[in-house]
Amino acid sequence: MERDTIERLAIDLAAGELNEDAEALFREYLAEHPKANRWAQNMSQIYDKTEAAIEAKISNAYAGVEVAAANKKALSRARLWPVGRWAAVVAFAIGVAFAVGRWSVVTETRKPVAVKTTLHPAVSQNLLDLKAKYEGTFWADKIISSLEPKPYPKHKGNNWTGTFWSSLRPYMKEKHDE
Amino acid sequence: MTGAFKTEIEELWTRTAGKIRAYALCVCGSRVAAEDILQDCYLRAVRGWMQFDGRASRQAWLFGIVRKACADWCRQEKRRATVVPLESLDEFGDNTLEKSDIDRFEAVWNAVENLDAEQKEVVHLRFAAGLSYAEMAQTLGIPVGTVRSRLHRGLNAVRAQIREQENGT
Repeated sequence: MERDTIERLAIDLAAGELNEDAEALFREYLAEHPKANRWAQNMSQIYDKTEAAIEAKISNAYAGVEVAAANKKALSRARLWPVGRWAAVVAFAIGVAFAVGRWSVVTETRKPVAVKTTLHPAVSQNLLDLKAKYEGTFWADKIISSLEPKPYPKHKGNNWTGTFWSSLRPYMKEKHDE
Repeated sequence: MTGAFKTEIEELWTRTAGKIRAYALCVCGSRVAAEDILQDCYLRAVRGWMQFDGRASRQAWLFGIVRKACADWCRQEKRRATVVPLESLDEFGDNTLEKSDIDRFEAVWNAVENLDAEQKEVVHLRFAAGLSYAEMAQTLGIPVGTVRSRLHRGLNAVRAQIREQENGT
């Protein structure tokens, strides 16, 4: 057989792709032909080496993942440490506040002051006497209405509706005459 | 959501989520993108559940969606100019590999990155997603023989590049 064929069969053998009969025949042939055996071994070595190299690449990449995952865990724990410390401080502060609030004495509150409103004595004691006198009559209503505040009467002078020129002209005339 | 549908989608998730994530990670080179694509693809799958015509397996149909989502993501990344996303900077930042392993694998990673698109896709589907020839053929809509050829040519190219790098250093 040619070298190329021997090498192809060697690869098939290494890959486990030869059936039992073919494998037996090929091994027999190699045993009888040392030169062919050398070629086959050489190719088998390349096959094994390639397989080992690719397996190493894959397993190494994923071995790195485990290391990286462990590092990440440790890192996240380290990152969480200040958060935990602050959480402990806040919890302690809440505890102190609760204890202080729980054991403190309640201060006495002031009693409400009763306020009584009365009319000013000077306002109209007489009117009040009169109101009592005429209770239930027309005059009692009149007295009550007189005690209520009245709207301020509008002064007549405030009803002026003239324009700016109508007041300025007489003023200028007066000034001129002077 | 009916019980049968729920069971079916949960079973599909169990069977394919890891594969999709690994494939998307290799294609996009970003863990975050891989997670997003996984979620997005399942969302699209649930929405278009009834559109499945049964010509291929559910997994192949789902990987069709994944390939499209990855291609969209890569196109958008190119459009986002040359800004390097932060997540890709720390992609291998928490490195759990030994220096000797990195030295050993770096040449292969570079060689796979330099493959042409078709070969790279087959290499990713085989080694990241762990699909069989038949599943890859269904996903890509090509014959099994073509899958076999692409894988062979891809691995040949990887070998040639590794040799070049070894000779260069």
